[in-house]
Amino acid sequence: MPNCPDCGHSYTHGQVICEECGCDLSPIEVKVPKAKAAVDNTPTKTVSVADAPEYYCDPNQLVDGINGCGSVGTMVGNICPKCGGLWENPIPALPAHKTASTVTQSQPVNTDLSLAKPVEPSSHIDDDYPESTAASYPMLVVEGNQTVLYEGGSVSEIPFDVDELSIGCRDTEQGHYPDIDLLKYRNHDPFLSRQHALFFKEDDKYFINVLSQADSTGFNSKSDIMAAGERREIKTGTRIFFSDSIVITLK
Amino acid sequence: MEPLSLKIKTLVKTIPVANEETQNSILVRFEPNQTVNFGETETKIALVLDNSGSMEGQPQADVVKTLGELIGYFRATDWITGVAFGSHANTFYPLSNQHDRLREWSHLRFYQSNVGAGGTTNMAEAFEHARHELQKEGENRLKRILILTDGMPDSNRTALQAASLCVEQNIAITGLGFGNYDADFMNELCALSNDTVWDMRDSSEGFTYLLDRINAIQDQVADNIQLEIRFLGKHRAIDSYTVHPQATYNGKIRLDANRTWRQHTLPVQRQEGLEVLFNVKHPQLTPGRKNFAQVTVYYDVPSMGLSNQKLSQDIFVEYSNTEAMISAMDHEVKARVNDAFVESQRIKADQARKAGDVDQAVKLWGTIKKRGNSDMQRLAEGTIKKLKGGTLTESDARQAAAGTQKKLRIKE
Repeated sequence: MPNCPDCGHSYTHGQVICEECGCDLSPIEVKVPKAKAAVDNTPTKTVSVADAPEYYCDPNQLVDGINGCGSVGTMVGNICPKCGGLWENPIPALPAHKTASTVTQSQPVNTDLSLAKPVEPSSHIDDDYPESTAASYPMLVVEGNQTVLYEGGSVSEIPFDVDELSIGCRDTEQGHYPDIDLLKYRNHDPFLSRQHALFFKEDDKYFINVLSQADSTGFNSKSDIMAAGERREIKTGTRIFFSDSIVITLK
Repeated sequence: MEPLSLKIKTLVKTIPVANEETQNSILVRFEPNQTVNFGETETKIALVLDNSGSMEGQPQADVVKTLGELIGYFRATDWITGVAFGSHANTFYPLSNQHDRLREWSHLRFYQSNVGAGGTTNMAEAFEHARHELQKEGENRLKRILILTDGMPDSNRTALQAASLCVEQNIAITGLGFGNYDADFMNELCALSNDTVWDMRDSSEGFTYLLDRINAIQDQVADNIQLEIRFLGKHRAIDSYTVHPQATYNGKIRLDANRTWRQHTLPVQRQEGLEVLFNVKHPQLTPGRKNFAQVTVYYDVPSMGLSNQKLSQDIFVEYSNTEAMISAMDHEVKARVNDAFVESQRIKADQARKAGDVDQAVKLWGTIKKRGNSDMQRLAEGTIKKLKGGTLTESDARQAAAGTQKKLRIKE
């Protein structure tokens, strides 16, 4: 039986969370872009945590209200395995960090997962990816543990890995099915439109274009209402308020 | 088209043959088909309100105010009855859908004047009254008792017996507690309907909680749901959690002679659906596609006059020794596994606190802080501070114990 790299507790193959300390035991997945996936028909690859990029838990920045611990290592699910700090945007580790840090070795995380059979990073991971990040696209995250309907399932995070994502409420009579469906909130919130807005990517920048005439889309706050037809660039951390029902943040 | 659909996912679809044993998780999602017209769900709701001596004063005024505000949210298809209990129980509002009558002062005054002398709380009699009222006006309506209390019954045993009789007659019980209510007893009571008690800070929160529960009942489409999972071969089941709409531990799985596990689940709401997670262990097998379990769900849809409907599905995994076949984890299932883990840690932390092992409780809350969502992280931070400072009151602990994600959302 393998042991948890953090606390040494033994666990069964396939277990994703250590029962003793809560450490993430799952392998890190590296998504291959859709264009590439179409060629080799392997949409995802699995590499062991040991092969994943390293991050720096910066002691000069606040994370969860306390300073980072200064360690360098593999973050699992944006969580520093040393101090448990949850980073929204992990800082890739530089050589300077490694020498400055009191922890000079990366955490010996999860090297014995048979589910995570290591693949040669250079040959199996798409070369287009920068070394420091596992995925090159941001996520649209629904705040407050709420969910929206996306690709047939209720989800809280939507990968922004396509050029356009429409958001609104489906209308089966009209055959209108937006990518992100808010219908379940419509009963209590009439200010959500069928064609509410469009998230899109242009020149590696991300934008939102409001289509709804209901004046119910707030940009970073409920008071900054976007007009119908208005488009604005969204950056990491931008919060979009869809009426009173849903807040979506780009992360 | 079936009114409800069954969707099943596994955490991993491929099991490495090299492993002696591999853990996996199955997420069973049961949800209404949005294209089906369920009509309006007809309900019968009994509001069973504590009116014992401790309610005198502000709590009682809050309840009266709450009742007045709730009237606007009842529909013509909702039949409501009001039962107050102190030393004895009284039906202060007989089952009716003429909701304006509830506004009449006489009913509220009746509730107010019903404060029990002697400081006793006859909850069993209140259940009898509610059950009697809910037997009126047709059988096909959804029946629910909402009990709001700040105390404990004179006799837990008789109260549980009366409540069991209600549940046997398909009347589900939802409990809301505040003040010095007996959380363990109320959880035992609510467990009869596969629920846990909803913990309120004080009586002023009654409106928010009651309205939320009433909305949930009005939104309910499927009832009397029995979930069966049968494991084939040597695949073992460990435990089960309801992970949506709220995380609840269903217990360790003990299979019967047919290697089947059965459980009654919460009703399904129009917008929410229901998700149950099973943790399983796969044995070492030869490569190939294996059918390792079968899931069957039985349910009723009262609004469509349907009963004992059945959905069934087989679950497969692929055993493989080819590296390329090792598939990725399903992120949705992984997120639910995390929710279940947080719930398991919360239960352990509560047990540690009750056993007086503060260090262990702090450690477990630390893990919850690490893995929980932002609401749970805040709750964990506060609980750890209080545990370390020795200032954790029974009310705080109860709030933490009742701190499922959805309940926290409502409080905000």
